[in-house]
Amino acid sequence: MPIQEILLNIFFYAFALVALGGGIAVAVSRNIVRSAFALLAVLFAVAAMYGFMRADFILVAQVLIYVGGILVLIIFAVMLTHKITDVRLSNESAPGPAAIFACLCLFFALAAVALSYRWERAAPSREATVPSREGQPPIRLELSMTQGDGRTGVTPGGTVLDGFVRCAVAARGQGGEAQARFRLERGVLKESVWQWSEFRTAEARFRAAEPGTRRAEGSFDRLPPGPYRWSARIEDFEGETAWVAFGSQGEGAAADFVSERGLTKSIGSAFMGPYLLPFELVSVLLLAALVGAAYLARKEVHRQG
Amino acid sequence: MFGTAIMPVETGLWDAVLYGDWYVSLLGIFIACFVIVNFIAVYAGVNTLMERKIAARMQARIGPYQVGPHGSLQWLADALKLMVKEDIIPRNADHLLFRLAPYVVFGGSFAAWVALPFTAGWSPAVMDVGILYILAVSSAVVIGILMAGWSSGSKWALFGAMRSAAQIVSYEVPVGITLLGMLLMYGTLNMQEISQAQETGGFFGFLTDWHGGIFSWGLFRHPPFTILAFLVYYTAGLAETNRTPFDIPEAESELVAGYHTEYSGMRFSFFFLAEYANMFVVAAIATTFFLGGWLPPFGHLVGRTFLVSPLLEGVFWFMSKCFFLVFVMMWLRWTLPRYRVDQLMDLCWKKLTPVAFINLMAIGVGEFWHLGGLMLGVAALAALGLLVSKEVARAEPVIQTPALNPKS
Repeated sequence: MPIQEILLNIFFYAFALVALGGGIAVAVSRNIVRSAFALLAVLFAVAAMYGFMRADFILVAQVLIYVGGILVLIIFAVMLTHKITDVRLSNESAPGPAAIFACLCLFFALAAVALSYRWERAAPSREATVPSREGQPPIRLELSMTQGDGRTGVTPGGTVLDGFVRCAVAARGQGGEAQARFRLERGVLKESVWQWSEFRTAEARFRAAEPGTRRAEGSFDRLPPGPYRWSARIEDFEGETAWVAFGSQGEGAAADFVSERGLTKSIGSAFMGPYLLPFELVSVLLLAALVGAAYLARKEVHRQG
Repeated sequence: MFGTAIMPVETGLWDAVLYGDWYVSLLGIFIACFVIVNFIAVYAGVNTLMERKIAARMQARIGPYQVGPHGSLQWLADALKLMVKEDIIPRNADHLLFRLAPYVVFGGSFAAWVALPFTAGWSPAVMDVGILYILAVSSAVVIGILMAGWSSGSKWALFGAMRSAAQIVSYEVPVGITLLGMLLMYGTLNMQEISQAQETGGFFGFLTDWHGGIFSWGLFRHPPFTILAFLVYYTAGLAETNRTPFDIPEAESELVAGYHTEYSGMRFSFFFLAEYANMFVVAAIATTFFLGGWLPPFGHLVGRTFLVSPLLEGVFWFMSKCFFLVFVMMWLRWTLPRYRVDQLMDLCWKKLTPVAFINLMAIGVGEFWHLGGLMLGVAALAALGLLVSKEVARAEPVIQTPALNPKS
């Protein structure tokens, strides 16, 4: 395992431990204030988990809303209660068998979801048949692409996060020494016309994957934000095949993928675009809650006469 | 399972840890943190001395004078004293939380530093969600203060913590709304891009490509609304740092020292460091949003000053603006008396918040329709002028000399 993966695993398990430990402390602590402070550890650790999933906006929103808003209010309310030092009963235990039964049900439900989910998915691929040299059968190429983590596939026209992407090409019916060359073209908007120019290339050696199939993988990192096209071809001692593109190509065609730094921009556009109505409805709901809170908290005014 | 999942902190450093020479970059991260922590320590130390000297100057005293020439090494002596002092934990205290609280407070303010844009293209961590991240991690400060107040087992500390939390949570509202208005103009949360956006543009959005120097800064984009926004942000930010005139959480005459009453030695000094670190963060956000970040005040100064490298030049301008704003905070501290609790809440909810909302709407109009923004600006200026002239006309002279007063 490369050292980077070990480092990340250490971080992941450390945060997981903090989240679980904090959760247990929230549940079993007999002191409600200590429970509230243990919740702080849980919230931060879960925020870090979002970080591992590259959801940095969700991470920040979680800390901002749950830690900065809700947790502060919980602690604040607890401290405002009368005789704060007497508040010891934060968790009354339910009777044993019922509690165990409820927990087991929850555990099996979660386990069923975790086991039935397909954690690793094959990346969507694009197949193309390229004419080979004369006298030889044509070669079938299969192009696919994943995010930098190597697990999440990228569909043609999709988004690549944080400029790290892995490309793969599989060839059927191809033997002998050969290598794949990946070509990345970057689009620049010039006078409202996209212009594509070669950005980077990478090459990789073919290795046998299954009988009759050989596969080569290349990766690109630190791509600046923007639209890209990528294509691949096979090269050997005698020459090379034509370029095979990942997306539908041709003049005026869309990009094969778009590189983005973080998802903040996409989330913002989604809120102000297709999800504008639900977004506004939720804000009306919050306003109603606020009015209700103000009504409950107001002082009774007795008007005379 | 998450073998190659990647941290969101999009520093060049983190990226390099994952894709490049991991040991070099890991070392880089450690160096960056080391530099920031030590910078905070030295900066806070020097600022205590500066604060005492400014206070002395304003009160016609001399101030610290014994250690070093003109007392210039006093802060080292203070730091040494704090480090060797006995660490006292009261018997009634909740030991675990009492020990933890100073680190939570300091961690919250330290974490905000990594997203500050110190110079062109360089922050310790260039983040897509920059300003949101800073506001989010700053909430750890409130939690830490509540932790300190509750765990001390002392009524002074508890009252101080309650007041402080109420104050910070309230003043987050005008801060958030003011910054939201400015974000309308910049269209990004990234602190670097916000700084960069102030290089060109100005005057209600009419001039998009104009290198206006100081007039392209956020402060003068939609006058008078952006100027009001700056004042609202600065006031509310000052309140969030719990400093005079908003220091009711540690009002000496009422609460001994507020939430850190029971702390001594090194743990106390962590609260101290956090306060000064927070002051700098508030000043840095104000600088980035309103005063052009690391941009020089006049566009043609780029590359022509005594600082050879443009990077150093950025650091120079950013730091100068931040330190000036920190200086103004000290100036206010020794000029203004403390607010009462009700006055404090009144200022926040009845004055700053409505003004912040008006700013938000006016800037929104100006960004969408430049002419409308200009008209709104002129109308607001006229209204302000009218208000001020009425106040001036209504105000009676406060001090009358006995000779001119017929009743005496």
